[in-house]
Amino acid sequence: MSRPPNEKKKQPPFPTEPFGLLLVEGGDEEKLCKAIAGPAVWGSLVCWNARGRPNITELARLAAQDPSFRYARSVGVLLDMEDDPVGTQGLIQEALAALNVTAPFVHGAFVPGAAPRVGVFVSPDGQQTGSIEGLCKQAVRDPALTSCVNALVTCAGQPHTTQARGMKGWLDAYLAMQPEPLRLHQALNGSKVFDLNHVAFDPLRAFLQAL
Amino acid sequence: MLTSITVENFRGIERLHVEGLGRVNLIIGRNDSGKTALMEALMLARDPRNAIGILTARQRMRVANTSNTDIADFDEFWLPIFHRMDALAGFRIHSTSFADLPLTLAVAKEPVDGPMTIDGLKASVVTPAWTLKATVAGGRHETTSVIDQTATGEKLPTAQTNIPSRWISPSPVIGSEDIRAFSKLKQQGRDEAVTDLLRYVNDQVSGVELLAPTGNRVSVYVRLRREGLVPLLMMGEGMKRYFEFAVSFAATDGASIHIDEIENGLHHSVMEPLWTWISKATRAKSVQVFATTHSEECVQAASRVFKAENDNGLRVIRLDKQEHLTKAVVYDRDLVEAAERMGVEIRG
Repeated sequence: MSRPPNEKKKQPPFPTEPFGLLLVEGGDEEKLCKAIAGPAVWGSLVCWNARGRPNITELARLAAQDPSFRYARSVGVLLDMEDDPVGTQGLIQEALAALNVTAPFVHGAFVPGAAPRVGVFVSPDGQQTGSIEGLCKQAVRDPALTSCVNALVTCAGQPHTTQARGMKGWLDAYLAMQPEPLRLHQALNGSKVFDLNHVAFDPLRAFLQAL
Repeated sequence: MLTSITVENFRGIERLHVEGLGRVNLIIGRNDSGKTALMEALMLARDPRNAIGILTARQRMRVANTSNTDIADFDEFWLPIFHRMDALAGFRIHSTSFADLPLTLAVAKEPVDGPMTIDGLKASVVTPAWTLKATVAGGRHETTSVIDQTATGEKLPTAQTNIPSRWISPSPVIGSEDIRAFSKLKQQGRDEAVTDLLRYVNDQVSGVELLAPTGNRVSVYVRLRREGLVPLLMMGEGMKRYFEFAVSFAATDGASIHIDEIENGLHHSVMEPLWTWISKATRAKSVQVFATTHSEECVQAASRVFKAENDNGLRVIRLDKQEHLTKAVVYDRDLVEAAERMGVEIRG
């Protein structure tokens, strides 16, 4: 049967003046970038959220087909490595192809000479498995609670079978022990839980500033 | 079936190229982006040898809404066809298709040099006030047709009897062409297809009749199971539009149908049944459809239906007017579905 009109939140339109475009795989990545970029940098960017890692290539294709894409001075793609370096590499190549980039990918760097400049940041650091949770774990503010959560994970027998899942589980446990239990996107709303100026965020911050 | 089109200097379009046309093409874009002009260009590309007849009919439809401009008045009637009113430069439409060689249609006003002379004598009676020339080039062949305005009136080229395109636009009345076509379907016993489509809007419909209660004009009546015969025009715009769609599809084989503002008068709940029907009807009858819309619901309904039908024939063509170019982006069914899923606005 027919559905009523789609009321989903829309991606922001592209402006008709130069702008930096950020493509992220999900809402947590968008929240983190907004939190660490600062209002001045964030205000100069347009962020499109793929609402799921598998959608990132189609999102890049849709962005590149938008007539106002020609005003983009640079495009940044933020993906998590997760536990799948090979799959992530394939996803990056597909996204770059959708953006008409044929040059090899270098983590955190922008392809020089291309218009627009295109760069990919693979969290946590372009090498290790994991995700933005790995960066956030390094930037938590409460060392006593950190010790407690470490003890809990040890006591539970390191139940997570991969590094990425371990990071997510650890951070969920930490956020659950806040005075009001939080999800990651809620914790990124202020600077109480995380030190948003922590050096762990510096490479991603520099990537956003270069957009 | 047309596969690509290039339009130069036609109406508001300075230059436009569309590659990858499908069997069903939904044209979207902001106001004044050239949607209707592209549909007209596609109609000309489908039948370039009848260009002057098509242009005359389209201009009559356009000017009928605003003035009583006469076809003889070149500046009022014909000039708006040309980009920046430059009729001497003319317009060009180049197209490719599965069935034919690439074709180029060029239409321009011929310069008038003054009265023709025969053996030194002025022969002003044969001098046209203006001449509009249409040339179709494809392969080794070139054909030309003209319309002249002379002292004895306009001389239109002979139109082909079988015009392979139909145009449907929102209108408060049912056109005589639709009544003629439906009458023919009745005579051939093929009117059930029309009834079937109308049932998507109202499941009480059991038939459609042509009646002349006053003895003068023939009107279309819908037979409802409970209420009996009801004039079609009393059943709302949606039912009237469905009737026009159904008649056009039923009466047409291997042709193209051009629907302006397809969503006009239709509730979103009848969009999916309409697209289901269009998907099936165009496959069954080898019909190519071009439609314009401003409605996101209409685009989304089309993409959902074509996916459910496993039909790859849908293309959504987005037009954006730029400085000297109208940019066309063609989305296939899957990309339209992805845009809906991720909240990307593709209407411009």
